[in-house]
Amino acid sequence: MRLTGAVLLAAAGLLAGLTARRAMEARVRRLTELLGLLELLAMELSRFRTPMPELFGGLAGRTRGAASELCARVSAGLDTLGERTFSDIWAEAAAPLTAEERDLLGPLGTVLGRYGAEEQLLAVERCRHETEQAREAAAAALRDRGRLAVGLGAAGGAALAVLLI
Amino acid sequence: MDGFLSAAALLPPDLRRAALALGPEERDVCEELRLRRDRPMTALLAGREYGLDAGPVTETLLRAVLEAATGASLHAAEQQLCRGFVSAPGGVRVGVCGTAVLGPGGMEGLRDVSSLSIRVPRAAVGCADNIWERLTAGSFRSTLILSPPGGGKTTLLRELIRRLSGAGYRVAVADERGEIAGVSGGAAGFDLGPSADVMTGAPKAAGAAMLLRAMNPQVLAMDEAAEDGDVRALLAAAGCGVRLLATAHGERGGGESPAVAALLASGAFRRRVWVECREGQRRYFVEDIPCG
Repeated sequence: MRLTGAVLLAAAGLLAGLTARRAMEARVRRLTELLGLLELLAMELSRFRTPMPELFGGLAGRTRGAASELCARVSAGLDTLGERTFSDIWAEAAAPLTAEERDLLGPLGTVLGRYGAEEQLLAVERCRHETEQAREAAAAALRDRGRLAVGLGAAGGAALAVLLI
Repeated sequence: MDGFLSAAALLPPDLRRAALALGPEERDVCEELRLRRDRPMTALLAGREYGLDAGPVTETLLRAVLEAATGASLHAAEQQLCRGFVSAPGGVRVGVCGTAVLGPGGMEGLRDVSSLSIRVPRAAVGCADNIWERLTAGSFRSTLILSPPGGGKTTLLRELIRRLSGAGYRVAVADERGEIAGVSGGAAGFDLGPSADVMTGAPKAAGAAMLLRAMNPQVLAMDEAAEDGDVRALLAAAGCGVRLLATAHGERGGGESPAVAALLASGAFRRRVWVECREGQRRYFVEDIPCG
């Protein structure tokens, strides 16, 4: 019985470490996806002046993961434009994002579609720059602490298992 | 969708409620909804403005209307905005006033929007019944429709396009502001008949040239020929044997703008239709233009 408990404790520790590492990987992946969206957004605005309904409808299919889901929610929300402002639609679409992602992308909702292309591009570029910095920080955290988290989890689990035995 | 409802759909909820409180008869004669900053919204009914039961229009409300009119895509409407209007779905035109932003190339934008005029589009099917036979006696000849602003030129133009198209003429429509056909997402909001081809959004002169090259029209239709380029495009089409159907600003017994004078002097038009609007009632006067 004790041996089984010890094995479970060790496994739980390892799992906790792996989960922490996966969360770090997911943060990097999601920020990379959002970065891809911002780059496409800037290109569409600067080259084609694409209207928002067409833009987000198209981007939903050209981006991945969190970015694609965000675009799909904005695209669907645009059906209610007139009842609600774009700013409200954007805020609602961004609600399922993480707090960090909302802080990064949230301010775009007050600029997109409301001002001229140049002003929008400036806002997208600023957002892209901040998202890039956040992604680099997330990647550095994964690099520096990813293995450490797994190691600490495994070691902690093993230590508890030893104590139990 | 009904033209009035298309126009009202651009309004934020509170203003929309005030507009929709108008009765059916008032809606039928409503020509424009006008929003001026810090003033109550008004409706232009049969040539007179009446205040609607809503609070003062704020900058936020003006912005919300523009956002709805452009589909939250002001960046895609910047060129139109520089010409003082925005085309909205359903053939609605929103006139815009504010502070012009000037650059080396001329007007680059508009900021501090202070007034909006939401034009209610109308499909007045049958409005040309009284003049149709006269305009097509023998065969249709190039016709210029003249009236002061807001006189109903575009409504008559739309109906004549529909009738000509229904009579088998291939009608090419240079619809710069999207008002004639009310095109939204590629589909026309107004019935222009079975053989009308519409070029939406292009400046009139450029659109007319493209239509001439691409669509082999028998009739070229253009709303508000006001600039030298528009006149040149119409004359070029006439030179190719295409019949013209155009509108321009002018008042019966009043002066003519240089563009209209040039059109009439060119000999390209053989008839003109004056539109007179009194207390919401429109009357049409057809005149032949003597050759030479």
